[in-house]
Amino acid sequence: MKRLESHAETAFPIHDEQTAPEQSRETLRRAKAKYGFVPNLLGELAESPPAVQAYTHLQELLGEGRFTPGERQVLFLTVSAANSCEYCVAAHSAGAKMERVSDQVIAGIRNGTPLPDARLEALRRFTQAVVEERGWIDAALLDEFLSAGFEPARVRSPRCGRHDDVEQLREPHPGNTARPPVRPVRLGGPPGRGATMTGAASASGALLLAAILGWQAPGTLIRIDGDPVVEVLPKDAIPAIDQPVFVDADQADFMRDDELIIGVASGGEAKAYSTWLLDGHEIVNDHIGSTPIAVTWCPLCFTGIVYIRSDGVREMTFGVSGRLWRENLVMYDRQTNSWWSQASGRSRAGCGASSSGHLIRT
Amino acid sequence: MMTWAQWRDLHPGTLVLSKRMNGGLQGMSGGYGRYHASPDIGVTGTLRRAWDGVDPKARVVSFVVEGRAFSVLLDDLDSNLILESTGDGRRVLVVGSPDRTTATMFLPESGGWSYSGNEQGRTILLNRETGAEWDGYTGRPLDPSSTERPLEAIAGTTSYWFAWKTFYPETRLLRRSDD
Repeated sequence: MKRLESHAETAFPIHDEQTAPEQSRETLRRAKAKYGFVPNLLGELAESPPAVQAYTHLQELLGEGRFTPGERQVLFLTVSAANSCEYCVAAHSAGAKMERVSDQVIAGIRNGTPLPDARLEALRRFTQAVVEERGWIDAALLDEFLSAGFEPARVRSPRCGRHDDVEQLREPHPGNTARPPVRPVRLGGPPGRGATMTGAASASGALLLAAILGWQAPGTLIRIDGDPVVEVLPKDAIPAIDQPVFVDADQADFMRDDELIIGVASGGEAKAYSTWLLDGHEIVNDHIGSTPIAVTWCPLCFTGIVYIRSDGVREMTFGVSGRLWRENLVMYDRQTNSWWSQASGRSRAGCGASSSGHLIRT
Repeated sequence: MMTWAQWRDLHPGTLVLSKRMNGGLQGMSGGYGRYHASPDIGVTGTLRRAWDGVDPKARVVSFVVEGRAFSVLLDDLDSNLILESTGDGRRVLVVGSPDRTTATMFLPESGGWSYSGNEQGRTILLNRETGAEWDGYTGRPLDPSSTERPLEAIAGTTSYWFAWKTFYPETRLLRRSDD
């Protein structure tokens, strides 16, 4: 573990509630009331009032997270150890003891050895990988983490753990617009270099990680290519049609001549799907001949598109996610639970994120 | 996408998805009539883009050739024919359906095409070089004994302009031209 330079050698003074800039003093006073002293980290950050206020505010928010207090300390301590921050390791070792984390667990994290508790070991390994690989998490490791019983709010498609092109932001909580956005996390892909951080940055990294994994505020936003994926209805609230029933044209007395349809013709077979009917279903999982097709309709975009619903290996079936991206229907496939953009035919989040649907001319 | 009447003319033996579901009839009228008639762009208010001076809810048919995206306003298809360069040395032939609810796109080898008329839901094209009439829906000569190759078809998507433009911001909007 690398030794940090002493605070006396840093460019920033360590303030207390008397010497800090006026805008930082209340923060330090509250810290002293809580801990009985002003932690050096806060004293140093106090040179910048926004920095110390942001740090303490984010720390407070983490108390609302899904992790237990002990798990949070395991997480903080793991990040501290991964960043070789002696100050942080000492602080969070003490914090872990206060939260009744066992000595064996604390020692294991500090020494980088497996923990006796399987759930905490999964948390340690996952957290360490997030720090060292800068968010590029191996799918197997994510599976291990989820299998340990964690339900991170920020990880979708748990069976594959891919989240390509997805930028995740937290929407400000109603009535509390001071809640800050959380930096994007990338899962999947090649590993990157480990990061070296200062003590303050390390602590912030721990907070960041905890925020990402442990706290799910209402109104969570997920962005793809900068545009939010907006949840407007529960999943499957608009029911896709899975067992379509057809009638001959001369028996279709329910059809109007000027009614718009999506038509599919192939191999001498022709089928028509009323857009009025599809207003209430949006997806029909069907076949034309022996080819599996998904007839899709987004009334908001006025897009009717037919896809071959196969990933080249197996048939897929699609449902309505209840979400919109760029005002366009977001479908999900029931095999991998990945999201698919109806307009582009691409999967943008989930196991199928690198593949494409195949457009049939309609 | 086209009207039921036109589809039925083109495919007399077609099947149609039944509206008889759960003991009743569904989809006997459109569920989004007010939305289609309104200037609203979607329902979430999250799209903030420029639409190149075109009504964002204008109906277009769009396609991609050699990685380049193109759109045609369906209202521009009153002459039922657009012939335009795609920018890569080829030309695309856009043929409006008689009811202008959709269009078909082809990559012809020659440029001598004219609108000839409508017949049973199809737009008829005249190949000025040979004098032969072609089916603007299938891209085949009307004369079944013809040995000429069918026109190369391009897959297209009908949508509101804002929807296509959002997903393909570099789209070139083709306007009607006389050829």
